[in-house]
Amino acid sequence: MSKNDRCVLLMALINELGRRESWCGETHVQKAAYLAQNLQNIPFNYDFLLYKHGPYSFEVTDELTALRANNLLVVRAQPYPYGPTLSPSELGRSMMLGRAELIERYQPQLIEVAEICGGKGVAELERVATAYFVTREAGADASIRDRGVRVNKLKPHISEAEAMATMRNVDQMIAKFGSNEVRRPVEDR
Amino acid sequence: MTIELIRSPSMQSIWEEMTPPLRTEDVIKLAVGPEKYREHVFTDWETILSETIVGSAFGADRMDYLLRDSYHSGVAYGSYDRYRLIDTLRVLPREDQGSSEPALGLEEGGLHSAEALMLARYFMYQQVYFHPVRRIYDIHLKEFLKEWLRNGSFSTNPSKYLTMTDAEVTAAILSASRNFRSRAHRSALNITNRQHFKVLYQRNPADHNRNPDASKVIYEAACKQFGSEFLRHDSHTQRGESIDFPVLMRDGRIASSLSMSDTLNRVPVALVDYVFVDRDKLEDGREWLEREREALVARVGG
Repeated sequence: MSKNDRCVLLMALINELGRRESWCGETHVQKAAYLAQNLQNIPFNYDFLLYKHGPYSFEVTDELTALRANNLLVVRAQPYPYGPTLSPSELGRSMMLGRAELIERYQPQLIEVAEICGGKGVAELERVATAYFVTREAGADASIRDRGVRVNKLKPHISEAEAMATMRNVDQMIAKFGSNEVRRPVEDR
Repeated sequence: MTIELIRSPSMQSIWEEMTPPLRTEDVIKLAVGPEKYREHVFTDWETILSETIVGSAFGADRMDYLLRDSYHSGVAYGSYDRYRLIDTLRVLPREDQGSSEPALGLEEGGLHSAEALMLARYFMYQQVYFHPVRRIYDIHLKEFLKEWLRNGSFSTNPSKYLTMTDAEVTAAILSASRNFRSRAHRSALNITNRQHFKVLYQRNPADHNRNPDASKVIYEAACKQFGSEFLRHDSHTQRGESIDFPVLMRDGRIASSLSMSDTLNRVPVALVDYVFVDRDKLEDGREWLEREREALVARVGG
């Protein structure tokens, strides 16, 4: 996927999050991009590692910065105590319109991810994305308890009980989307 | 390479001789941070510790190079109150995000120093790091190194790598500039004789808002017109950096820096987007661009 296509899809993801009244700060975009790439097979090809609030990509941060610098994304300040919200600018929207066909191709996956992430706050997104990261790392055979312990070890502020509860939701998510061959666009099969 | 050097036997003996001895892996973690050291997952505390050294917002490395570059380049833009800033650094939970994950933040009293740091960084980028003459010399130097170095790159063997210093490179540039048979003669001359390429086109808001790819379109058209050996395209954005950090307010609450500071919300992102041309083609290039600019800018956007 070209850099331009990747940027268009990232803006489309931000747009979908915004439509679901997500706060849509950088953390939301980071976790949504992680789930879009790994759960929904959108070929962003970002490199994620476990860092701030769970899976994190320095490339996503750089891409968001570049989109801001190019006036394709706008940052809207929010009242105390919240951080800012990201959304496509007029120029960004016109760029998305020019690539409507590309967005259309991935629209079902973008919507699924926005549905998962849209209503969640940072703490909940952190739990879900970290639980999914650990599950991918541990493999399907690892028990909920083992994975919960691992999450707690990596992120001590997430209790084992919270981690295990989240893990059950993540397993349901994987059962629903884990084999989403029918949704995958032709070029990625 | 940094990781290899830290693991090299000569450095290893330095870590081991210290009291208490330093663990090599800890030194690596602090020196390169999580982005470059992917073999280990950083704990929350290691993340914060590495942020104080190599972090994008308040890393000692970044705070230091701004002051150093500002001093040595003779511009005043890089100054800010580092003492106040360092005194007010705090490790805080991200309550503003509903999370208890600890992060590097500030006391409210240090917010203006942080604003000054971010603005200093922006001005240094725009005025110094992204200055067109500095950028084109980077390009000429990279071209020289590719032509001069064996296989076009520095050795990845740490001991061989350490034998190469600025002195060797500077001497080689001078030597190649005097030897017209050298493969690197042309790029060496660009540097020694100050025959660097000059700006033909620079991104501007009017063109960019009509066509975000304007400079790329102009570069490609100019290459067709004059030949790619006479043109260079340089497009680069300041790397992403976190200006959203927790702030401990005077009443004990914690808020996002961006909800506390209008200034931080408005710090622009620095970027460069230049098309350079060989100075021998500059006059023709300018005439050509004046004739073609409208059509070129409209080409992809339209």
